[in-house]
Amino acid sequence: MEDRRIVELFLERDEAAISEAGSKYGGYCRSIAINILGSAPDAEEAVGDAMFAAWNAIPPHRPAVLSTFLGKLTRRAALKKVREASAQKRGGGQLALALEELGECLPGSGSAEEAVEAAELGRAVNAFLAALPAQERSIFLCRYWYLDSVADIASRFGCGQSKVKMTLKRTRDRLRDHLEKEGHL
Amino acid sequence: MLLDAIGEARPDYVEAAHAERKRKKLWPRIVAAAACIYLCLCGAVPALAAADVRPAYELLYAVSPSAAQRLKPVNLACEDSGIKMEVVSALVEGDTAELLVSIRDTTGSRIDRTADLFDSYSINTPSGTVGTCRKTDYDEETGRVFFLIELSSMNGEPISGDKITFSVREILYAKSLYECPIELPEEPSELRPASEARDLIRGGSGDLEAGKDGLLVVPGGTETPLARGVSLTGWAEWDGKLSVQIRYENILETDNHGDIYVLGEDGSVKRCLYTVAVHDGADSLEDYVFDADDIAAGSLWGSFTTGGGLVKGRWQVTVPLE
Repeated sequence: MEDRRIVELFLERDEAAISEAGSKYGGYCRSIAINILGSAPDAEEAVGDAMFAAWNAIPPHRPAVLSTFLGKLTRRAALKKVREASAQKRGGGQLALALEELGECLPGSGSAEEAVEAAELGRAVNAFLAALPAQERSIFLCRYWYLDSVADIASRFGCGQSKVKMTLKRTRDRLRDHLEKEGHL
Repeated sequence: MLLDAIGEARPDYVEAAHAERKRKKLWPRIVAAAACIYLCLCGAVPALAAADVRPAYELLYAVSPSAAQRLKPVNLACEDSGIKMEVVSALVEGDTAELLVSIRDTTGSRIDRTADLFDSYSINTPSGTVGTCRKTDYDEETGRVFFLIELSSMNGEPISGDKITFSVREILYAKSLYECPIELPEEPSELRPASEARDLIRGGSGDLEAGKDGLLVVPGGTETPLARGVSLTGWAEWDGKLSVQIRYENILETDNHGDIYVLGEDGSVKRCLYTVAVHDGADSLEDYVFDADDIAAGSLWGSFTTGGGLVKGRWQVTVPLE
């Protein structure tokens, strides 16, 4: 079923919207959740939470890109699960590693979160992403949006893990500089 | 939290990243599916011999049954300039079509694991498409190199029509990889504003916009050969940076390319801040701009890939779709 039709089902409050969205994007969402949670049953729950969140969000929201909208809700639901379990450092997924790497850009991110408006930070990150070459941006997002492992990224981009690590390191360095320049550090 | 802010990345960026994840995952699926098809239909499709799909067996475990049912063996081939090109299998799904293609030398041993279609492939379909090509395997026994070609319709609509014509014009082979130390000459070169060469800049990496506002080494002095078709044209220090310029000869016929880096005494590697590539006739002059302190802290090394031979021809196969 086309995305437009699925969104219409949500808008019409037809519960078939959830099964259609799950059928089309369930695998995509599960792959995001499992990267964060490292457990298939937990991932399944996060996808369920995301579908419920989508049901509550549409209407009034009308997503322009349904796949990334559902992916974002799944990512959020999975991150919430990890935080609720206070397990960031002990989780079985890629989250602990990704957090450790990003700590270079925004150290003590827990306290900074309170000091910085999330929307402003989001805008700063998007401005930073816009200035990146396309491939570096995709590698960065595979790692920190989808939380893919470095090994997976290397195989998908047809390069060595050391190159991916180097690219990520340079991108993080630039992000740190950018956030510093924008006053977020 | 930064991770949450990254979660707010623009949907088109997220989609583009996912497209990379999706595309690169297709190979094991399609090849393993080919193996399944072979196992199920080997009597009916004798041309898909076991040796032809050797990589598929190694990846069989990854197959999706539904993909196996969709994949269609093709086994259509053509030959020109002593090189045979074969479309082994193809899959069309919605707005995406994939072809597994192999090439081999029928008269000698030009085709090796370094062979490359050199961006000279094209696919003609009734609607406009964008395509990518990725080398996936080399079968030493048969001398075949396999490529996965993927194309998607530009407007996102399902691919229509009853055939795809895939063609290749040039094949590069016998490429070599060089890894060597680079000694900078004592005398630095002159510099010029990059803005003077703005119309000749063909690309670069890293912060290219900064590069376009910076300075470039002026070639013209004695060049130091580093590898076949690659030479050091000069270096210069400016504004806390150090630019090293490399000439890649005749890039349109050789695909000569490479990278240079600083190797620290502890084995650490430091990359340049950015690169700027400028056309110089058929050659490419690439300025690698480092933090000058980084260069002082280690030794400079280069890693270069150079083309050995180029064969031109007309290889074309029309693949019927359902």
